[in-house]
Amino acid sequence: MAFINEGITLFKKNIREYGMYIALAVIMATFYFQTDGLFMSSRNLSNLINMTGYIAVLAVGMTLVIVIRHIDLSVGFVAGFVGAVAAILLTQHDMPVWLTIVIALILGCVIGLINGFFVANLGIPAFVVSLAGMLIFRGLLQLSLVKTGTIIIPNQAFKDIGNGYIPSLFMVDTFQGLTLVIGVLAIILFIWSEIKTRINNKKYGFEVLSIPMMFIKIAFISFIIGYIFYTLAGYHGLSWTAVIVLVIVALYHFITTKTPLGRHIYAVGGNPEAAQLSGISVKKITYIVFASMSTLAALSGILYTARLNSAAPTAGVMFELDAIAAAYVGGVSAAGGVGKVTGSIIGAFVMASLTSGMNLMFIDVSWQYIIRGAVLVLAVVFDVMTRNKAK
Amino acid sequence: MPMLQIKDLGKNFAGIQALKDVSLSVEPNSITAFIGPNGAGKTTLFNMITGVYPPSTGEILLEGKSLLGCKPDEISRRGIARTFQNIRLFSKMTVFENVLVGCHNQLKTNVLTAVLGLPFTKKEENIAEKEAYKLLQFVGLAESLNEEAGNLSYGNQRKLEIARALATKPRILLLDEPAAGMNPRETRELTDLILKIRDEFKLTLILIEHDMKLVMKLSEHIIVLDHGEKIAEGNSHDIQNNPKVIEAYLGTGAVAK
Repeated sequence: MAFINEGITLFKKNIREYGMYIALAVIMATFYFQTDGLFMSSRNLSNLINMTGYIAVLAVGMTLVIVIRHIDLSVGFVAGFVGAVAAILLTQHDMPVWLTIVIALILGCVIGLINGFFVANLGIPAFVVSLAGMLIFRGLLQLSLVKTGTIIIPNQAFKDIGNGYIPSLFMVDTFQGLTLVIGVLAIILFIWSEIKTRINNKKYGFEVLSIPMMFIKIAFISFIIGYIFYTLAGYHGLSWTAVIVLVIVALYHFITTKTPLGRHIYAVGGNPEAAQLSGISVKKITYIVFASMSTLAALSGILYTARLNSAAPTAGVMFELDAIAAAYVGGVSAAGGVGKVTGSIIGAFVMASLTSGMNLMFIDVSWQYIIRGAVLVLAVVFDVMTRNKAK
Repeated sequence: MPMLQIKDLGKNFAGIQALKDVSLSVEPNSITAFIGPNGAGKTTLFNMITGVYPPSTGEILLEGKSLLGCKPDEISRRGIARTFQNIRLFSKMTVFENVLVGCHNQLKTNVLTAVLGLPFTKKEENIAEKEAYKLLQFVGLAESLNEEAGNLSYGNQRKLEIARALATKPRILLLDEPAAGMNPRETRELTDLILKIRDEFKLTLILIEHDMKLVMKLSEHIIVLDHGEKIAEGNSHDIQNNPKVIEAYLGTGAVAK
């Protein structure tokens, strides 16, 4: 009985977070049955991850921007513009891929610092600054492609970033060996970090889950991780895009939850005045968050350009809105100081699953927009209602 | 040398003189109170000491060194911490994290070293966690360290704010109306806590307070402000018998009777 009670309390306490996972599960299950299993096929899941990649990295950066009570509307066309620059460097200046990527990321970082300067130093609302950025980078994108039109990139290594898969090394039956190995490692890492957190929490007398509840949690999440890797291993394995997204999510999850910088970001979002008077430079945090955002936008541009294997003047349209939607669906609060990187990733996958599933069901695009809009509103309403109840 | 020295400090807000030629000095390890009717300029004085806005005239010296032109975060790192009249916590973070944010003031860790997992970042983080835990035990909140700060009772939120301020390892702690909204029992606890803080952390304390019982009991030095000017200073006995102070509080004519 105590066990069931614990389950109920746990659910009530984390209803927002669990609600999102449940929503994703319901969406996936619905599409699974509606498409006779096609939706959860290795091939489709693999595609789903690849097509979400460039939005997912944006959603990670956008989470932090919204946490510190700002917004960045310029990310879409920054991604488009940086993608075009990368294409030009590769095709017209014969630069090696690694150098192109480094230059693109630095360019993104510089753009972010400029945004940060306007917001932090001049105190101009981020909405206005990034709206201007959106227009300017749209113009620059078109300008940079005006002579050539759409640039096709004849470079296999670059193409692989968006379309390639990690080598298999060896096969287990019909499954990709390396992908399976990484999956097993991911599960071990997850279990290890859960146990470590538990020990650490106990040290300070924090409440921890009871042993059976902890066991269920570990088993459940390990199963999900295992299932995803198993499914992917049955197709081409883990894609390079998936690897990049995983690395970015792991990095940002670590920074936001385990480092002083992370706590400072949430402190600035929660109460800027108090943060400043506790010795945190709000200006510095603003610079860091905007620089990280635009650097991720540059990465998003590389992923998108690599995926399409070309740079087009229309690249980047609506990216910023997809990223913002992903963040809000993922539980980031506009009031500031609240929101997890992992939540936004789930948010990105909720939105992408809707698109992918509805495409498979041949639902008209107009209806797709309406349904995605409704899901966004529902998520935020659910968020506000569960929060008010908690008070 | 005085811990804090203020010389001819003045502040104009769009033509309104909020503070006029205020000079005072605060001795190390003392408890000083700023008192005065509403609008006397007490919080304005706090805001200038902590760098929230710059003074129009005059100078502020911390152990002989000027604080002019310093941002609030720099001033915090130089050793002045404060709490607020209307409590300002990171209400969505846990009690523990609130104090940890204050502790980070002293850390040398940056993003790169943390991501690389360099051993000293772990050590620093461990030290910070221990510090935070000790401070929470000190103010009596160790039981609730994993609760969301916004869910604490009013009195406990005040204590948490004090713990967060102490975490920045200040030499001067400014308390803006710490007893506001507290019941008599909570006020008594607070009085004890303030004395304990002074003795254990060897701190200089300055408080703004309307609760005269608390002021008279705690402060060795009292400074009275009225209409942006310093009208009196001295120990509690001097202040209670100063006609100017009685006039400021009770209005003209009160003394004559």
